[in-house]
Amino acid sequence: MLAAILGMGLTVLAGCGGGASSGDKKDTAGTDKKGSTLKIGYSDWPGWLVWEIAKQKGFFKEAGVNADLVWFEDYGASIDAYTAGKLDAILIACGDSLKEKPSTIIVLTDYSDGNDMIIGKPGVESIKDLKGKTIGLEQDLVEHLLLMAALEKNDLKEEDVAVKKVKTEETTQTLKSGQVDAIGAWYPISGRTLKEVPGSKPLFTSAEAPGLIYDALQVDRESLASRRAEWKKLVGVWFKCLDFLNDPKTHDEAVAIMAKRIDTKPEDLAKNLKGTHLLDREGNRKALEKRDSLDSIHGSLKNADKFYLARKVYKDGKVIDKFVDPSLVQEIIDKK
Amino acid sequence: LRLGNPPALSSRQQLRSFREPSVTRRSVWLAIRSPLPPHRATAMKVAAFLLPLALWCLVSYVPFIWHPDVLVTDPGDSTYLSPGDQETRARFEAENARLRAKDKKPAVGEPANPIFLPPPHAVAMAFYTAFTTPPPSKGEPWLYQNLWHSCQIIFWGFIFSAIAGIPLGILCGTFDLFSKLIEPFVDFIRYMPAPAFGGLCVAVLGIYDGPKIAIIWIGTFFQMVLVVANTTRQFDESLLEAAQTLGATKRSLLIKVILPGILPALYNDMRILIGWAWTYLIIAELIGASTGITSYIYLQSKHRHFENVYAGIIMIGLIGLTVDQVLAGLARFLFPWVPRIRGSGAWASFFGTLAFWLRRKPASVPAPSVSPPT
Repeated sequence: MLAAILGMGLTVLAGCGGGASSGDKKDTAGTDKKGSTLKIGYSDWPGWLVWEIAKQKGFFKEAGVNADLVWFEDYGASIDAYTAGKLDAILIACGDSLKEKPSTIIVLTDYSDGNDMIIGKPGVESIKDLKGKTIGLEQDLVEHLLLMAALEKNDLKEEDVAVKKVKTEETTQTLKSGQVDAIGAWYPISGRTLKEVPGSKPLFTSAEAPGLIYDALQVDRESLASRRAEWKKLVGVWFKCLDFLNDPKTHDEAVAIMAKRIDTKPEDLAKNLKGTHLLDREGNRKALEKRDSLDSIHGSLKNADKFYLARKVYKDGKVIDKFVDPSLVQEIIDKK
Repeated sequence: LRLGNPPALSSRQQLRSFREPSVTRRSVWLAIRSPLPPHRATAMKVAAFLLPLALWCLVSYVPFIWHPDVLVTDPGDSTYLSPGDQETRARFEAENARLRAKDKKPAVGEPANPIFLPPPHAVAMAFYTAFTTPPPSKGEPWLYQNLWHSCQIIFWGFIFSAIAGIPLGILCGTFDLFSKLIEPFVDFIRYMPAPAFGGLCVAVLGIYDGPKIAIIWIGTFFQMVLVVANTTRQFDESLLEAAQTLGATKRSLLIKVILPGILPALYNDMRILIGWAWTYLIIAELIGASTGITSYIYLQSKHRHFENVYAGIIMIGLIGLTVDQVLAGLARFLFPWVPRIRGSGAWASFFGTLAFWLRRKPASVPAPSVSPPT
């Protein structure tokens, strides 16, 4: 009965909210105002910090597109905002893309090449040591996927380990407490854990499973359909940011801009950029081709889809093709 | 809760029934401050649950009420819609307008409510399947195990606060010294939100049940001290005076007069505070490794299976209601001398009869244990 009351409450709230924010909704949907700002949510991940260059160097304006980046301290919160229709696009780990509001990936930013880790406490030397042990990580998120890959490569089964549900932000504390034998986390939390828990070491990283975790710019489907030209310009902005980062003349300035966003030292960030394999034009072209292996986004998403089905995150398999639109990247490359 | 002053009420009713032997139908429904006849009271209690349910059904099953979204049944020539997708009407129409402009087949759909308001039958189904669905991997708990785990957290959190809170509260209510020494500080901590201690609890107590029990404890203990102290203070002064006249010592005043005297009210306080403990459960179980019914609700809402979320919330409500009703029934057995409002149902008469037969010795003012004052 509580559900009924809550339901009614939500109904009324949604009714009010709908009325009040209908203008808003049209903005984000882009059906009415063609010129409204395209809002892109981003959070703390080396590959996504590259976008900060566009913001600071005015690349959006230069490209003639009205867009803005919205910073989130918490990755999960950025997904919630996007799902609620407050953002037009979001920088997301591709696996999560399948679970959330049906959307379309238009450009890949990177694949994780070591920054996602399974970290063992002192004394745990390898994944094989984890048999019968406990691992703390956030359930059904990318680190869970990473653990599955790690177990498979070491001939262990899912049942051989016990997974405790711990929020990624709390994994450092959890490993410190000694009540789990390993944790799963991404940079910067993985780096912090290694520093704060003496003797802990990475047992398995995404470098051993490249392509397992792609990251991308994912766009609301309605917005993509109605404002495709602008989104294409934004894909161009991504490549421009990468050029700026890769150019030896501007490299240091680029890293400084990115480090400033997360209030860290440029040297630290530069070190951790190595664990993120950024994807330029050629990298995108290759990864957007349709193959079943992990060096293609299709294969990677298929792998995630299989995992989510097994985990009962959703009931029916997803049509992967609808989640990726390589045409924008292709058009930009062809023009060059 | 059946507090108030039942004896006065019933005597007034008696008076009224002498004065007005024939009562009209309307006055039975809307009589000022007098209870409904039992069958009508039951009918109202049932209606209290049926009315919201009826409203929920109305919004869910009548297609022209609300239904702001469109559930796609046939995507037509749309490049991105698939059957089963749900879109707001404006976005759906925008896509169809684009399709029509290009002379393509428009998408077809039916009106739907947003996914956060599933229909009652879906929630009812979810309630059942939540128990029958095996966990996604071996070693993970089933739902009933999650529920049982939650109950244990509540139990221990509550027991620990009762062990410390009740004696402290009684001391505060009895002696002004303790009241002035303890209550101001307790009052101060009471305003600190329990969840704020989450990180601290993990650092000290680890990630498993320790910090969760601690949060429940923090959430209930400080309230409990103040509530118990207040209950103790409200104890009838005249009984104390009577006992003192009979020569009771300080010790026997506390143990033989105050304690038995406040017991029924104390019991009621505990009933309310158990409810309080449940409200902290959701926050407590997310601290450290998330467990129990909360981990279920949290994961289901992350995966946007809202029918399961509602089912989980209803489970908590049902457990709370059941515990409260059992405790209320038990109160009639434990404290038969506390007067009740007439016609409070079959349970009352059952426990009343039971209590009558089992009653050994009525509680009374203790005989003076010391020699009369000279």
